Amino acid sequence: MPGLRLLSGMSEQHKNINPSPGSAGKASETQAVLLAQKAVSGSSHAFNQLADLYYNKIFRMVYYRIKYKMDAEDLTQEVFTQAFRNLNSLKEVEKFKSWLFSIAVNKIRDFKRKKQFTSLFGILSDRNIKDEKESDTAPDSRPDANPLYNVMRQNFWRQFELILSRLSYLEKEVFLLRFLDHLGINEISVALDKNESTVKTHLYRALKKLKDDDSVKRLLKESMP
Amino acid sequence: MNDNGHLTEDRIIKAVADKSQLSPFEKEHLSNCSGCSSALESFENDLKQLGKIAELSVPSPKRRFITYEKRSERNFPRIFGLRTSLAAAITVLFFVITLHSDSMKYLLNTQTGSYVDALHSDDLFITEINSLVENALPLKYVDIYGEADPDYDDDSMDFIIPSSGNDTISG
Repeated sequence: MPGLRLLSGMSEQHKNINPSPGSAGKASETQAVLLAQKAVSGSSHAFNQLADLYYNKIFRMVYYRIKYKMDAEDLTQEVFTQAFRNLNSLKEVEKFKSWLFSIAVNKIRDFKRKKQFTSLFGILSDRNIKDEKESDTAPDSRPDANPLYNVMRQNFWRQFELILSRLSYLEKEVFLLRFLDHLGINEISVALDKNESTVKTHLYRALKKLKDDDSVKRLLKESMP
Repeated sequence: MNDNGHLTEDRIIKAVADKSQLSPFEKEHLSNCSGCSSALESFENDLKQLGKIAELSVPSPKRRFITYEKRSERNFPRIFGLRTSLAAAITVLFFVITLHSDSMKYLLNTQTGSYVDALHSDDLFITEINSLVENALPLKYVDIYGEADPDYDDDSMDFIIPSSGNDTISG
C-alpha cells in the first residue's frame, strides 16, 4: 500500500527523534532527570537540552489534540517558554516530564476555549481552514508535504476524531496520554492533577467504549496493509 | 472469571488499563492461559498500532529556534521595565549634555543677569514709592514742616498747638 510506504518513510525520521521504550528509554529518562535538576538550579544549557529532548513529544501531543501544524508549533513553543519561566515551581525534578505535559494540557485547554469563543464570530475557524488548505497545497520537499500522504493523514485524523467523539473529555484525555503519548498511570495522574484511581477508571471506561464497537480495529484495517 | 474459567472481557480491559488491577489469581491464570493472554495481547497490539499510526500521521515540526537564556542575577529589584529605564536614561543624558553645552550656559547666564538687574531696579522703584507714600512733600518742605526732626511727633505737636477737639482747659 503506497500510503503505508509513505508512513514508513516518515517512521525513519521519527525513530531518530524518539528512543524506543525499554533500556534506551529509561536511560533518556535518567538523563532527563539529571538535566531537570541542573535546569532547576539555574542552568539554561540544561533546559535547552531538555527542550531538545521533549520538543517533538510535546509537539505531537499538541497536534493530536489540535490537528493544525502551525497552531501546534506555536503552542509547543509556549509550553516550553512557560516551563522555563516557572522552573522554580517544579518541586520534584523526577516529575519534569509529567509537569511539562500538565502545562501542555492546560495550554491546549485554554487554546480550545479561546477558539470556541472566537469561532462564535467566525474568525479563527475560517483562518484555520485557510491555513490547512494552504499548507496542503504548498510545494514542499518534505515527505509529509506529499499530497497522497496528506490525504491519508487527513482521513486518519477524521476517523480518529469520530472514534474519540464517543468519549468524555477526561476519558479522551486519559486515553490519548496513555496510548498516544505513552505516559504511565502515575504520570497521567500528575499531568491531569487527578488521583490514580480516577485515571484508571476513566481509562477503563474509554477502553470499554472503544472495544465494544470495534472502531479501533476498523481504523487499523483501513490504515494497515 | 466467566463460566469457562477464563477472564471476562471486562477483566481483560482492566488488565489493558493497568495490570495491577487484577487479583493474583487472575494474573496467574493470565500467564498460564494462552486464550486469555492472546486476547489481552491482541487488544494491546491494536492500541500500540494505533499509537504508531498516529505518530506517523503527525507532520514534522519546524526546528525549534528559540534558545532559553537565564537573565543575569539582579542585585536590586527592577521597578521599571527595561524600555522605560532606557528611555529615562536617554532623557537624563540629553538634559545633562544640553545643560552643559556652551550655548545653553550663555543663554542661562544672560537670562540670569537680566533677571537680577530687573529685580534690583524693581526694588529701588518700590522703595521710592514707599517713601513717597510716607511723605509726599519734597525734602525742603519737610524741613519747614518739621517732619524731618525725629523728636517731633504728634503728641509734642499737640502739646504746642492743642487741637480744638481736645480743648479741655477752655472747657
